[in-house]
Amino acid sequence: MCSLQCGFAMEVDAGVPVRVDFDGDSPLARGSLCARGHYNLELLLHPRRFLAATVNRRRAPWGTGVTKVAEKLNEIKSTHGGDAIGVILGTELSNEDYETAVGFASGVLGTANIGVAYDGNDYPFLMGGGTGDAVPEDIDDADCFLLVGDVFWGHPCVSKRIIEARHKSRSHHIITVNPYRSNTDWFADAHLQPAVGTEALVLAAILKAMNAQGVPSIDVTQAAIAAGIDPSNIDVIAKRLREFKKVVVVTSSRFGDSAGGYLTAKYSAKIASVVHGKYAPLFRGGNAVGAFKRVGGAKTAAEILHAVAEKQIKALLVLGPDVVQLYPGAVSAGDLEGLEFLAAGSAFENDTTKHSDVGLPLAVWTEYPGTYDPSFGFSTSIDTGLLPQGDGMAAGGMLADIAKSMGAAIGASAAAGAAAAEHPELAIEDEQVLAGMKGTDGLTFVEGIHPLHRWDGTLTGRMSFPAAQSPYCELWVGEEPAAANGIEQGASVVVTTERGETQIIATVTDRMPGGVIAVPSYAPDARGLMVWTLNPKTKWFDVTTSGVKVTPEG
Amino acid sequence: MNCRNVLDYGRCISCKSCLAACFYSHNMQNQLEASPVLTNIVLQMNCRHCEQPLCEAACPQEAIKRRDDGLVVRSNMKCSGCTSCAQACPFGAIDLLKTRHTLDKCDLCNWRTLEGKDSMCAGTCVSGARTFEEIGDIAHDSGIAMRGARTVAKTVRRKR
Repeated sequence: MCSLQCGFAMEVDAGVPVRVDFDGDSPLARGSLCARGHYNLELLLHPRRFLAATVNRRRAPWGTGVTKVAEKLNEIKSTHGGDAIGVILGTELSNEDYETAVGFASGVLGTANIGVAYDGNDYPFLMGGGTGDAVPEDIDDADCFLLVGDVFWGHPCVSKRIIEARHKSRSHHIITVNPYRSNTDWFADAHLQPAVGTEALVLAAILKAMNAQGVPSIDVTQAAIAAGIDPSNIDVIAKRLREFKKVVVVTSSRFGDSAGGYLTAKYSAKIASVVHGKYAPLFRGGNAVGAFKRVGGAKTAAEILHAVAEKQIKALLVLGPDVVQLYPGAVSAGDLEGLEFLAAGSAFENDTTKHSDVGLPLAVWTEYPGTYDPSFGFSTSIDTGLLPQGDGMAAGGMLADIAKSMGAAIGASAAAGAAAAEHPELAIEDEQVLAGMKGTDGLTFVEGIHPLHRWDGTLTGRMSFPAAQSPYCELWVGEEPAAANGIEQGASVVVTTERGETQIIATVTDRMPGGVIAVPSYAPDARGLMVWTLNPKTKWFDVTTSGVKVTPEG
Repeated sequence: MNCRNVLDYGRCISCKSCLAACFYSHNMQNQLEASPVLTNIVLQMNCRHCEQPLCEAACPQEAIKRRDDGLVVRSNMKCSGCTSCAQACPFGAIDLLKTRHTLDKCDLCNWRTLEGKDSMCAGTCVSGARTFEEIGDIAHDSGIAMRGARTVAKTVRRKR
């Protein structure tokens, strides 16, 4: 199974994976597989996999690494208390790993600082709306889709089902709400193109035009003008959505700041509820649903990293994500060096493992059996029969070894699981957030547009295919700002913000709305130019930029 | 086996899954080239497996042969990488010297298509744009390489 939860088959010869094949029985993808699915073969056999533990950046036997982690965690726990230790988990682990991790944190470490690093700002809403979440079959039966964000890029394997359902009848519709002109919008019968970061405002206006109950009191006309769209289109869309029998609302992630992302997901679910349809939040981060069901949202990775930067946390255990590259504006390599102890588990050596006292080789998801909760409300289990490369081990096994070495037993995870299920709605004042939404006059700097972009050091960046397809990391610039700043296609440009500057290759494209420039996800230099601040209400980062300038190099 | 890859550009979402499938199933060498069209469509320049292949005629080493089942295949062992076939191909389907002394071209995934499975690029297609069909089933014209037509930029304002 791929990290995006699409099933595939693997041709194995004497325990060695040879070729990827298709799994027609996969409930979501039904045999198709996007480019990311094919990376799994290379991921398993990658020559630069992290195959042995490191202690002080030198290779060490597995037992030495585990003993060192156990010693240091015991020492810091007795000196500073359990809450001085933080645990950050990636979204690629199995459900069993999360259960073990929660038991480890509560029973062995005695800390409440355990969080999931999901790189999306709709974090609090990840549990789904609870309003009739869609299953894959709902897509096949739908006669109208409201797609928020670039859904086809976010999860390409869903696109086939959506397109097929659309083609069943000429009366079926696809409606998109997306600031960019993406492939998803090419298939749309109606495309609302609001200003970047105002998606929630548009959805709220649609709800208001539908006369839905419990919607913030906003003026539809003013909301549409603030979002930069024709107010009459809001009424048209609201009327159309009412006309269909089965509407499926699919919402991708990353919209504006964290409160905007939260409200976008909330209103998407609300629209689905009002039209008696189904809501399908898309999670790009692998087993994100499984993670939040088990680990919960009591603490977020953002809060833990903020505590690291504030020196409140003395020891950190990271299993999966490269926090330095993921959140460059929130935590620096210097912050990690300032920790008394850092243990990092990863499938590859990365910026976090480079600064760790102990590095632990993590097995990837196809190398060990486990169950996963993908989007679209179903569970799936995998057992490929492959063995982890080198000393690689699943996160659950790692934590069990560490607990044994610490002389403690892993506790039950039932309490945390129950807390996760009761995740409260955020105390966000909707009207206040919506009132602040409007298009910007100057250049806006956004990230996370092109999933196939390559950047060295990330999992995707290490794969040969994206490297062959896009040999450099691009900055996407709209035609209007490109002309205004004298930027040509393929030219090297310097992007400057209040935090510094970086050099990057520019791609001029009509996909970007005027005044917006975009860098791909995981471009650390560019993402480091953004200001990352912890929003206490959403418990996640608000990423903003100011003083953005793009000038040709030299 | 008398099947061909059929492309429906009305459905392509430019996700490059087909390229990835080809890349990883051919020892990390793309035999399927692509270039963007209108920024939203990927034009795959794959081998057409012509009935009278010019590449076969141009090859001095007799490394390219058209088999009885219609597949135009190239032998790695005979190829000297002279690029004659690449220059002869009117569709630009043969890539120049990816590996030293040899050239790549689409083999229609014959290790699996001969077993009755779809080619890798068609099997992986996430949007249904790429299919693997019997020549007799492909519309009324066996020479068809594209079908479908996509209307551009459908918006509410345009009111089609």
